[in-house]
Amino acid sequence: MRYVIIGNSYAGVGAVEGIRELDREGEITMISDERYLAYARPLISYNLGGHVSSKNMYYRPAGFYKKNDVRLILGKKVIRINSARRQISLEDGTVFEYDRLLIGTGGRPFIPPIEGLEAHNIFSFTKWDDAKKIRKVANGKKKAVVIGGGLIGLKAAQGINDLGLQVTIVELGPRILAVALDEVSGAIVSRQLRENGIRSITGHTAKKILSDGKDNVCGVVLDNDKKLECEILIVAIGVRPNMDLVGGTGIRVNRGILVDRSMMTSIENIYAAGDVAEAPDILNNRDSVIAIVPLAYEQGRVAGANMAGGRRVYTGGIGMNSVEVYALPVMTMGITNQISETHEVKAFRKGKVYRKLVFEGNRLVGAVLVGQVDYGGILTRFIRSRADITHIKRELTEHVLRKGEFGPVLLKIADTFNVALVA
Amino acid sequence: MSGKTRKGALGTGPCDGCGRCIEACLKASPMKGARKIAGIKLLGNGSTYIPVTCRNCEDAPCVTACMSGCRHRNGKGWVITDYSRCVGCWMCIMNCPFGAIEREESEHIALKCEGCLEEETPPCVAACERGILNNRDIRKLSHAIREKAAARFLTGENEDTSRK
Repeated sequence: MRYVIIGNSYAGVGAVEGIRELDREGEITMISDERYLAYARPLISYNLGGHVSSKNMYYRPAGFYKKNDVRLILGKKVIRINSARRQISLEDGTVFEYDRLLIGTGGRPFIPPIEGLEAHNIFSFTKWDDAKKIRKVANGKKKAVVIGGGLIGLKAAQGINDLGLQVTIVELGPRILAVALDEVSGAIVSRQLRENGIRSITGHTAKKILSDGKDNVCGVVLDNDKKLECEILIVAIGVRPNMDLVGGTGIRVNRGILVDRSMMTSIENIYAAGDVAEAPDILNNRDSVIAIVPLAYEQGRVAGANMAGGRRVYTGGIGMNSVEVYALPVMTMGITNQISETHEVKAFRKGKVYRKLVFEGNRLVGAVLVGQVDYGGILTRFIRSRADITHIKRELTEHVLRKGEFGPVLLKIADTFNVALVA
Repeated sequence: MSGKTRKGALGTGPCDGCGRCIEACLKASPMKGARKIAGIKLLGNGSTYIPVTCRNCEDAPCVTACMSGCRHRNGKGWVITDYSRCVGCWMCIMNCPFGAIEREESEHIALKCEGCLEEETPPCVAACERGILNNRDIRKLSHAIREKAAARFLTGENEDTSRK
């Protein structure tokens, strides 16, 4: 069996591990247009800010590829999939044949057309090379602007602030992390940023980028004509599935590449996983692109096992994230902000501690934890399993929500709490 | 799935919270006596407690969720952590269905039970005088719990609530 994996991040690594659980012999070829062994992509801001050494950026031990007998091709771009011939071609003309193919090409930053984008020192922030380029030019610079206050913008802002630059985040939405946080938690996070030197301007976006005589960026003009000076500009508006290779193959797509529960696309023998895939979404009863590490790895692993002839089912994911804003931990799981009349919301706030639970009927469907995040996984468990929580709802609202105490909930479910996660 | 489980220290039911397991854990070797947070906790209501510790899940959610790759399954089948590479992103805490991972704020790491693999019997199990913590195979334990739940279902008592 010849396996080809396009992409060498969480989904690709998951696929290698999934394949090797069942097939020690098959040939695995892994191709990435980046020049690094699999690295911890969400940690590029930590690396930029000096909190994680480059040596500690790698997601797997150096011997991973050898141990799993993977032929690794780095720094080469796949430009075409020929599904009829079961071949892929690299830009240098090399052709590989496959019996099973995984598309794990991830996401690509969305850059809206803004006047002046061609100036120097404008970056996106999704690759290690982005962080390295920023670090290279940051020396001696004083001010940076980050357009976009989502997770990537927030992390970029922290990384650059750690280098000693004054950073301003410009976010079109009403608050930072507007998708996951509500007004109260968004305000707590904004305050935490401000106290640590990061300013955020919400409700506005950049309409024009200014550059100096040497074509270096020197500022942005906002939609209210206000001008912000900056020597580094990060565009972090959003990320979209990187589906370039799909054109002409007949693979069905929507927002991402559509897959079934084995992670196979509409074409037999071609699988997709990770930020490029549109896969089952437990809470929304439809498929979604949920671009987060745990699901990328899990989908890759399921895909790999099925590529190797196994029968594993992807049971679906929920959106969630955990981020730290200058020692203030923030977790959001499930439905936290798209509240409708079918939802019941309970919230508690004390200083920088905030907890919110979102119920729908007899289920917990979402949670936000700010400041105190311990035992958050127990809430994730209730959300993901779609368990009936009727008889622990009082404990959830009185003890978990108000005091952060999980003991009473666990005692109430003591009989089933230990059911192991055995496949 | 292949034989990737080993016997583990597992809480099977509520206890009186004597805390000897915690004392034993803090003295145990993987913690090296240096850390102030044990790999086992007792959560309860003041009189009755549930021991909370790593169940060494097959397809462990903490491994799946780990951004840095520091948490992994070792050759003996136990989920362990290379703390030198833990960055404190708390993704594992957000995904551990048992609440068995804790923030260690001074070192900024996500601490959990590391299994005391060099010991025949984990110190917490040895310290548990009432036999609540024991050294059972996780599959057998899970099976026993499911059987109990099924029996309850058949007799019309309350139903399983933590699983679909």
